[in-house]
Amino acid sequence: MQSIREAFGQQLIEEAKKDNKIVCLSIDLAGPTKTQKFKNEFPDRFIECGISEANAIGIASGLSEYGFYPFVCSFGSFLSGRYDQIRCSLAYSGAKAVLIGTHPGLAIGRDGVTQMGLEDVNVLRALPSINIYNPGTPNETKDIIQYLCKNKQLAYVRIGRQEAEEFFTRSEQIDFVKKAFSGYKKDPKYKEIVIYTTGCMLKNSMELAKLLFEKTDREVHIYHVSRLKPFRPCNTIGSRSIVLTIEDHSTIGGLATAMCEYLVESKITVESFYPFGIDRIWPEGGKPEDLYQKYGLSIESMFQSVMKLLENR
Amino acid sequence: MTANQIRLIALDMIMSKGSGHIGSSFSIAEIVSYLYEHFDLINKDKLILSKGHAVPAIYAALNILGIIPDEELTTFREVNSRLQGHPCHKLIPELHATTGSLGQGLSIAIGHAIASKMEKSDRKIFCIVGDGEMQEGQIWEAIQLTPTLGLNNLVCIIDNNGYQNDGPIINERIYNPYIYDGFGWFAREIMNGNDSIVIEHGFQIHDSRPTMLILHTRKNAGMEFLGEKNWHGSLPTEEEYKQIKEKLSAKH
Repeated sequence: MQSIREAFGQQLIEEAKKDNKIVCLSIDLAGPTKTQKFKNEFPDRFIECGISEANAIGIASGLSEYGFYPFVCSFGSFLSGRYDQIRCSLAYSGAKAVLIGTHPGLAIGRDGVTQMGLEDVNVLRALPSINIYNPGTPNETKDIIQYLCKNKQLAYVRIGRQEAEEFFTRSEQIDFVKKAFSGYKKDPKYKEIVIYTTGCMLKNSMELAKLLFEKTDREVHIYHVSRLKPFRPCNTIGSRSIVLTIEDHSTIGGLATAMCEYLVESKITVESFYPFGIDRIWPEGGKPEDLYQKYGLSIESMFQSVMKLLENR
Repeated sequence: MTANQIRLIALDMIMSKGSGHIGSSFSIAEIVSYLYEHFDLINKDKLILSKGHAVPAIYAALNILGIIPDEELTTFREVNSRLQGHPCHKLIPELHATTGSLGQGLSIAIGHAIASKMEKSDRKIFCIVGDGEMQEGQIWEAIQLTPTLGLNNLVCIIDNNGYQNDGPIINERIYNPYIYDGFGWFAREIMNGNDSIVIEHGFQIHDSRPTMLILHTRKNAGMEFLGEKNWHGSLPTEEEYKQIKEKLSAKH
């Protein structure tokens, strides 16, 4: 299985072969961000900035003035941590560049909290001029990188470190909300469970969906969101359904918040809404599987939470 | 164009709205007029005003060059205006970067310098940084990287006017050229940065290293008769305003 970051690194090279204005700004993390191969292939278009994220962001701004399309690559936590530089030098300046924020969520595991992108979407969401992406599979990642090179813009892309199962085929026509699974039942007694997931939580969310379909009397539909801003869900959330959002990110300011905004603006009254994510708590470092279990994002812990939710209804 | 021409226009602009940074704009009047006179800052070379609050000096220069018409000067800091309180590149392309949050301009200048190398252009990139602004960490990120990348087309000018918002500068050690020399820059001090002739003689761009020009200036340059004062964001009285205008027009 390929990882999201490997897919990114691979597609960046493909795009750079076609467009010689694509450049890569490295912040001493070429290995972890999988841009080492880009450096080997295009040494004149790989700029090592050293450990200076704010500086790299400013350099991207200057480069964009000349039609260069910079990919600034570092951990999502460190990049989004330079909010003022992203705000003033990129977004407000009208610059076009792609911020690649790797290692989102708990997945880095043992290195711990300071290396995890847990509030990165929240930090950037309010900025006008920036779009936010969160692909969940290698093919989706390649599609999005290809799309961003065809439609140049200021974008922040969460790029997961872990290997990811493929659920989608490559497509030029990109769907930022994809239906991943639908389980129908004959004469269901209750309203359906609708799951919206994003990024690397896709696999766990799919397994959860199938388990819920199997173990409850409800229909289950799951959608994968690869663009969090702007966010437009499929128009299939009926009133009185149970809506779950699942993300490897704080429950504040990411998919959960975007979904709540949508439900209220569309005047959809759901039966229950439950956001899965890092819920107003500092997690910790450890083996990733243990972290997902402890912080409620493993298949098993999510299943238990939903069953409790259905009981208490 | 002359420095006092720049001061007159900047002063009127700021006084008409009762809002703006006179001292910060006055201290760079000579270097700004020098740069516009000796380089092609409209069609080729670039000037990044990292200390963006001094933008009235640039608006003045662009007005003298006919890029900003006289009528537009009165829209400074008004709603619906191109003349924002800090430079907005989207609105006026001749402002080469959007700045205002201190510490960010030198990094943007590096981007310009790298792009110029990649395009094999011989354009020069100038960046004016405030002495107080040198307290921002990002400036030092940029200072470290510039010589490493061999950006001899980048000239950084520190406007040492000795004051920051809350009083005299608290970090005089940044005036030491050996610091920048240690990082790989060619560093040079110009002891009287408000004397055009001194600038003329002292201005130098090194051929192989990036250049750091430490310009010793005064915020009250052009209005010395008012005495030494922190003219960062404060404005003269109506009476003082009249007197300053008289003095500047006389020297003109």
